[in-house]
Amino acid sequence: MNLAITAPMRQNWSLFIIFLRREFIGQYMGSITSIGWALIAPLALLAIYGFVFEQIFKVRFPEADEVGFLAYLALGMWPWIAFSEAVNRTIKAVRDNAALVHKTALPHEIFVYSTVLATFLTHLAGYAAVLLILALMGKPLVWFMLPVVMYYMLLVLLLAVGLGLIVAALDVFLNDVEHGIPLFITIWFFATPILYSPSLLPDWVIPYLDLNPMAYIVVNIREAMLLGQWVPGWIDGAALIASVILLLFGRWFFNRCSPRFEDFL
Amino acid sequence: MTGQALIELTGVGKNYPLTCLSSDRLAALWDLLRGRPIRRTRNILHDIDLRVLPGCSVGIIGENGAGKSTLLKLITGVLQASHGIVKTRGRIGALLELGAGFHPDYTGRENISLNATLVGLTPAEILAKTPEIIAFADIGDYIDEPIKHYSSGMVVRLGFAIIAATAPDLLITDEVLAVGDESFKKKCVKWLENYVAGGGTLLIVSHSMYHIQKLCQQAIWLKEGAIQKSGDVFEVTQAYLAFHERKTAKVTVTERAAANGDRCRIDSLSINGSAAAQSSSPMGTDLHLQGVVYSPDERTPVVVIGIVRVDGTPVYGTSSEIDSARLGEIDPHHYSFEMVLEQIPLLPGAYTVRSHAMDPEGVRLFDTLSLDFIVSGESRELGFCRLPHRWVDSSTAPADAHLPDSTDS
Repeated sequence: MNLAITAPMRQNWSLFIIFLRREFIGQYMGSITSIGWALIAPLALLAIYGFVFEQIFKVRFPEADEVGFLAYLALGMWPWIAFSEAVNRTIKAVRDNAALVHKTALPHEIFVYSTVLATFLTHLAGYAAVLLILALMGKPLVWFMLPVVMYYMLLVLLLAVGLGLIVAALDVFLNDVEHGIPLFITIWFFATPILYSPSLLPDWVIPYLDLNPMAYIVVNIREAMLLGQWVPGWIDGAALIASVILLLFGRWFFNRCSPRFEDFL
Repeated sequence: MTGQALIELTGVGKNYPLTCLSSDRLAALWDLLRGRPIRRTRNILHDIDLRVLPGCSVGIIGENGAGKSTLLKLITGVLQASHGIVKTRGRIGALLELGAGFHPDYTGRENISLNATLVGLTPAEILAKTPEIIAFADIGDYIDEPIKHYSSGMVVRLGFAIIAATAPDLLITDEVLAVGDESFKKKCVKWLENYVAGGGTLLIVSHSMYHIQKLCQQAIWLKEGAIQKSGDVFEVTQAYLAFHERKTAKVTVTERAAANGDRCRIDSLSINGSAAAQSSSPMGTDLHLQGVVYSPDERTPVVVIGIVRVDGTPVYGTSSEIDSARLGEIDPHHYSFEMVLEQIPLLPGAYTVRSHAMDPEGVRLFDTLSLDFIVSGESRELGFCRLPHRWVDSSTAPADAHLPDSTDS
């Protein structure tokens, strides 16, 4: 019967909306500027990095000459922040809802999806605001490439959900995840050409750079927005397929563990 | 609809994994990912069969740690059974412990949406019902505060208000009502009675036999993770109470056995012609006690007969000396006694007859022989003895139907 299938789906959708709303409120509840922090914090970070690298280290590389270091940095920074914050926040997504896991029967996946999506959407809005600022400043960015940026942001979301599902499930069993993953993410940040350009890397590293999905995404977003270059190749197909596989694996992993969450929380 | 069980458990068991050592947790994770059962576990429930039909409320009783909460969690779907099959039908509402199904960080209003959605209401229905729920809970401005700032009574108020508004086919609950204040408790009990009377089904965990007997037709007694006894609510609760009384008796009552060897002693004791323990007599029938007492010095001893509850609480006692009763001489050393307790007014439950032998002067107590028996019957009266009473017709004044009805008027 059709009704039997749609009723639980509608129920899960309603639950998802409740949790998503709650995540948005919860992130910045009790602060004066509320959602403003989503923009202020990354802008401050950008200003600090900009000051340190541009004024103190006097970093220069050819890719950034035309738009300036700050714009170059911003293009890569927001996708990374959206990704890393989403994953970091999701580590405790199940644990934070332990009270509900102990007492109610609801699909635990919802905790992960709502946390990832709320964080991701917040920073996507931040990204849009920063791009708008860059446009107003008259930076020569290739604006018609925005849909390409959106596509890569979708890949970021897929990655974050896939990884989030795995770390959230792992955290229920091993507390170490809470400490290990943020450290790992920090290392990942420096292994990704965000503060620097790939051209500064040793030659032998370059062929392997695309194995880092975030490097692949950041480099491609910059090429699109700075140079207007985007020629889809086999690697883009592979990246899309890999992201979907990661998501499916994450779901499998999570749902294997989730019936036993109650036992381990 | 009727005839089909709301809950059907077949051979259900639950193992909890050991979670203290990280090595155990890792091993469990590895087992889970491979789709195998977790190796190191502790068994909490085993071989539970249960059928709950619509309109037939069931009480669950048992000691702390017997697995009652685990059983409820299996039924509500919070836990997955390690063995067996759990089948449920219809809309199930649960009101368990404090803050059940509430997120401590969410406001009352948000928790209403969350819970109502879990019960299966659509967003439109929730929007329509929310004012009703807030009115029933009656917690004022707190409705927009996080639940973690609520008093335990307020949490229960909100929980109950949601259940009352969503009217589930099956309501699973435990001793939550103990928390509310008197007026709210009254409101809840009234609602529960209406719910049950209106065909609602209840699955209730309680340590109050009074509530269980009042609200349920069936009961199951869980002991160490298995069903010790199930069936008619009165039989099960009586057996459970008797078990408890006996357990306390072991600790508190020391048998006053005769100090001296060759003195007066009770040789035999029988109830209604049977010397076997746990014989059962329906409430209100005559109880025949017979026995033989031994006398070492050819003088007639005094026999004391007492009825105590299994925990040792005395109910009534008398002696052949008090009543000037005469014993029958079998031979110079053996004397028989017989006593009839007419239409025993004892309420259903387990009791013990104690017979003592005393010296002919009625001064020294030498021997005790006890025999357990059961008074059977169905009654929700309280205490252990029915006092003759009658109700005076006060129908001219509006009566508050708060007390349980008496079966005897």
